[in-house]
Amino acid sequence: MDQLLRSKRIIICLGCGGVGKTTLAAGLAVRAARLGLKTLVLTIDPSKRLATSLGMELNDQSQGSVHFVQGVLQDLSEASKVNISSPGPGQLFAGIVDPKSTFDRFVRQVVRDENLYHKVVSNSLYRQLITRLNGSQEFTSLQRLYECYSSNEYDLIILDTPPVEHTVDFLMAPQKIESIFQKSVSRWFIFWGQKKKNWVARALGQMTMKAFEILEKLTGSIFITELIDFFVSIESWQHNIKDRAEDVRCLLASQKVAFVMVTTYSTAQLTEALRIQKELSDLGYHLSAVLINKVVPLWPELVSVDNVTDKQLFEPFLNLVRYYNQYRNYWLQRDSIVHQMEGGVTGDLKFLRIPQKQHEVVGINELIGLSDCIKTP
Amino acid sequence: MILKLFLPRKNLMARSVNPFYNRKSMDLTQLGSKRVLFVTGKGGVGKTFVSFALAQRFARQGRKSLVVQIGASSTLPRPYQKVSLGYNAQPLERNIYGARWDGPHCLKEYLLSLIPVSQLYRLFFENRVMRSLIDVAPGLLEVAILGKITHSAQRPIDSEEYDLIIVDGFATGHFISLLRAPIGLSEAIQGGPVAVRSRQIVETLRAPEICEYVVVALPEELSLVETREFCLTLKKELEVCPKIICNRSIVPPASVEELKKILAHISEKSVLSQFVIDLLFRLDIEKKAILELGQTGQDVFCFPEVLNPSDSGV
Repeated sequence: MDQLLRSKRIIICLGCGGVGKTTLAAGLAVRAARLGLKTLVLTIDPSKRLATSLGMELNDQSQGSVHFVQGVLQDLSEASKVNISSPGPGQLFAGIVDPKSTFDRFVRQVVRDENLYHKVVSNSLYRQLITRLNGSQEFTSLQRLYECYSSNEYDLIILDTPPVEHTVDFLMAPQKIESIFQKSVSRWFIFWGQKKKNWVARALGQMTMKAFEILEKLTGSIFITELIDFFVSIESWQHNIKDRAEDVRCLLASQKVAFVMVTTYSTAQLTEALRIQKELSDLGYHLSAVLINKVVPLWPELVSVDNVTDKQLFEPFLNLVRYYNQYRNYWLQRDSIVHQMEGGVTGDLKFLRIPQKQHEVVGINELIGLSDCIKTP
Repeated sequence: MILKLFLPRKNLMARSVNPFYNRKSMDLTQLGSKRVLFVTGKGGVGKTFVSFALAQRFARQGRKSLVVQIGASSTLPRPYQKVSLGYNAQPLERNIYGARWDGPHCLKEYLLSLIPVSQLYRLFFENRVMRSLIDVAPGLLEVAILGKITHSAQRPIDSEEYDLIIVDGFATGHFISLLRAPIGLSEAIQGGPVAVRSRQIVETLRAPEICEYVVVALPEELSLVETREFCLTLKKELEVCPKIICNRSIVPPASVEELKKILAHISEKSVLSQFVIDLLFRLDIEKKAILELGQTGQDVFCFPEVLNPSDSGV
């Protein structure tokens, strides 16, 4: 694992919700920093206490915004530095991906003209669409990753991903958002806005005209007008979204990027891990490790047990022994599934087991404790 | 008798109450008396398991339920492992039916009701521009699913009359955006039938005589904090008070006093001794967690941990 941390520039943590992904991403980052690397961890959805430990302020997301101070763009989502009590040269920085400000920054970069920029961001649909579009959260995480990577400030960036149900959707989502920013899509809307002109009917075709009429009936004319305004305002820069999505895809497929998947001992999730490995490799990406989180230590077989002398404790004692065996077997079964998978796996996919901690890992000391446990057997 | 608590049962839920804790017994008559029961909780807490366990409980009481899965497919609990749920409800066992309602399917059904002329409908739905809009429209698919749920609450589905619809909902994060979606949509789109329908959906979700909410949590600290926050958000946005089900609670083999006595009788260095210490520690954490959960003011029900796989599929 240490080798992975040292050799890659970006590590992306995939996994379903509830497995401890955000905490492990932070743990990995702590380990990397203690190994001497200048590390950044970008989280999506940290709990308040974890965020506090990492020195991040969890603001109300709806207030994220971009400010201009004397004409210079101020970045409100600076990463905060974390004290990891390590004597080496490594440093740890932590940040939260804020979709609103990330997208605003992106627009600001691609829209040179300040007036047009203001026109875009003040469109009433822009706010709604940009942060709530299906795929926008994923696009902005990857955009933020790209920004941080391009700055060359960090030896290693660890990206936490949103807890989507199908974790590979995270990588596919930017293509969805691209679809609405196609030149052809906005053209239709712009034409529709000028529908009084005859040539429009010819350009759009009767079928599309009809489809638009239905849309207007379903949603009312105010919405349609706002939608048209929106498309007019993005016309000059929408191709940048596609370009950026392409840049990101190339980066993710390069040797500099590794994917790790976080799961727990559940059979369903472990099977999912193998399926995801295949999906990723179909996309040209590389799954390097599976981190099995919250692993309970295996209890040995009870060989000989002397019964208690107190008669009243006979029954409870028997139940205790039975419970011990049930408990042991339960975790043994799960462990054997991992063994099976390790045996059947092709390539160099590593499986790491990370033990369950007695207390929730939220403080920085506990994070350091966790980071010490993340190692290849 | 303590022994009887451990006999494997055919059903998903061990029925008895743990007598060692002072917590609410499993009197579930309060649950499932409305038309729709939403089951939510963070990923991995056991929402699907709980949904079906509840359905089984209600089935034994003679109530017919339809368990609807929304969101990504999850493996069904052991009795129904091989079943593949579709859009149309299918019987799983006596008084229990299952279905999976996905966004695109629900939207299609809804649009067909608005654009009854099939040619026109196809024209609209299959137009490339409309498809890309539908793909990215925030909350549209969520509203379509909620629309089908609220619509179904008051009438037979596929000619079957159900007493209850149990919605195995998204994980809590998604659930919030799911419930916000119709509100957001009706703000973005002020006119037309879509807006009207969105507002109707919100009204139904808020109606306490129709919709009920349950959050599944684990007796762990982080789960608690999130559950508390979720309950607060739900109260604020929908003015509803969810009930809490604490899943995977430990069913100890003996009382804490008995365990401590046993500890005194066995060798300190033995494996069993270490195990008992660990068990007592876990029980203590859980007890505190459940007490805290109870302090939210909501009702808390406890579901036991199932260690014997022949009892369940999770």
